[in-house]
Amino acid sequence: MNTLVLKRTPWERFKKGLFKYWEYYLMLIPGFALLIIFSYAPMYGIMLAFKNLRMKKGIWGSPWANPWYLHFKTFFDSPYAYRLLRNTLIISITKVVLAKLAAVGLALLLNECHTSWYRRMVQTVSYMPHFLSWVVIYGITYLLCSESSGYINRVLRYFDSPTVSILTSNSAFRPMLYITHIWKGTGFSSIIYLATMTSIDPTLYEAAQVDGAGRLQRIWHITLPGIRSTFVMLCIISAGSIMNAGFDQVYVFYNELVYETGDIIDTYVYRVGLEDMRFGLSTAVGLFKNVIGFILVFSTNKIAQHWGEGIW
Amino acid sequence: MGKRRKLLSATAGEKVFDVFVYATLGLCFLLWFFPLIYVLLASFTPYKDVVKGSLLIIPSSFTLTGYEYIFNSTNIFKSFGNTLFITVVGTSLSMTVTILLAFPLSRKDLPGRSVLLKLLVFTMYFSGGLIPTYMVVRNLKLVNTIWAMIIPGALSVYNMLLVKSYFESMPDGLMDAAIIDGCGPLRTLVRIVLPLSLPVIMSVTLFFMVDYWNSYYSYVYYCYDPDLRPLQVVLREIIKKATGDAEAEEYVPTITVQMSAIVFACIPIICVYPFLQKYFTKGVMLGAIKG
Repeated sequence: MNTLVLKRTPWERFKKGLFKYWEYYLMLIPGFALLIIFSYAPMYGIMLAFKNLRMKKGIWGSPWANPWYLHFKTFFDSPYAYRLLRNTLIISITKVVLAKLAAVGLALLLNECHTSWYRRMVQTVSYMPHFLSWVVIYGITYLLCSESSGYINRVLRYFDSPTVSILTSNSAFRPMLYITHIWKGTGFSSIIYLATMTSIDPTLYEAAQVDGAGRLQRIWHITLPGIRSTFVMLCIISAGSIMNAGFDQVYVFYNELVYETGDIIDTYVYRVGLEDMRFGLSTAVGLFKNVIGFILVFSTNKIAQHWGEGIW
Repeated sequence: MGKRRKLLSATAGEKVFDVFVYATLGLCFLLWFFPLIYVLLASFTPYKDVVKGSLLIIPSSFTLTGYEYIFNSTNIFKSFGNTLFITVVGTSLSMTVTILLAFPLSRKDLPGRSVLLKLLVFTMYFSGGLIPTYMVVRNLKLVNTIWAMIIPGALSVYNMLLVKSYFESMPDGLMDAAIIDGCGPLRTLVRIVLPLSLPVIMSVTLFFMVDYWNSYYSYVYYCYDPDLRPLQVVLREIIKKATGDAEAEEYVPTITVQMSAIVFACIPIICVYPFLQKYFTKGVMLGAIKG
């Protein structure tokens, strides 16, 4: 019987499956329709990166760019290329590192706190910002940081110090992105570390205590090694998204005065594409970003699989 | 665990450590709590007190002008309606699509399953990009309609995988028994699978709701008709108007109005937050297992 099944070609198995499972395939239709239309059909439009679009002729009929790498050349010859890559990488890497440290730190503190109401109070308020939109968080930042009426400047004025324009300052822009990113996400990302910590075998702690290990020693020798594999795994995963510095956040926060330190690839793609209507250039820059991003994800996933075998 | 630790007498060092833990957590609490409560208080404080008043955040006087402004603003009400429509219709559509994808794909014996899954997961890592997607939306005549803010982003592969892995964790015998009893796939899904997976269905529904409620970039990408603005876009305009980068000379909303608008936009999130908190831990954990 088994050999008989094995002998069937994939196509024959598919045909038999279609008969037996047709109701299941029917259920897949809406989802795959959306997938094909909004995820795969746009891949055809990538051609625009190598074309000069004429709206009337459509994507196919438009003439090829001459030379074919024209838009890429325009981008890399412009002063934007260096600035955008630098900003994108600095912002996303710093965000990942700081956010990870903050999340592990908070999880450790919560894990060491044994008064459940106190713990729950901190948790409740720390998860909240994750569900607020970036617009709302910008509003809060504005209330605290604006030059005319922000709380920080009111305190400075109270002490007769000169006021600072945080929202329009190039040197303050990136730290502001980091701080708001941490404020928004730390509570939520700590959940996974906390859950990993609570799954550590309690007898380990008891044994260590009997052997005379203090709280710090127990954290260092039991808790931290216990979350190591989760931590490494999540680090590798976020390494794959290094080309994404967060359009949602930057677009709400930035303004023309802070392009020097705050403009990232995604915001540039948006401005050039949908505001200046330079479709070819925008598609080319987007393609560049997506290809690098895909290579990163692919290689980090391979590393993750490798590590995964090593750890578990 | 906590009890057993207390039985062993705490040394002085441990006490210092405890003080440190509680103090740092208290500080964290304040760092999260202060901005939130300050927004709420500022929305009730007259403008001149927010700017010039004492440094105490407890307002010295009380006003409802911010909220009055909002309830008289047709802009805000119209955008509230748009966002409500986007959230309700979008969440229903997304959930239907998600469940209908997750259920067949959770059946390990479905022929072609791994290919279909690879097709889905690939789109998490590679996309055509902004302009090619815009061209598709444009060709479908969706540009500048409310559907542009619903349909293109309706499918979330990540959320689908969360639901799928939950379905997979259910005992196989359950579904086999249903099928032997003459229950078709659709009835199995509705009568047996869904009632048993309420936690994940609830958390993913809430995730979608929050996402639709908070989204503004689909408007920025695909629409320009001011009548279609969702709440977040109007909110952004209200705040940005005062930042100085807007050309608006007309009416600059005061901090009181801005903060009232923020509180107003957050009310639905605050209303669902208790439910969110009840379910999302589970959602996050499921995602972690799948990696």
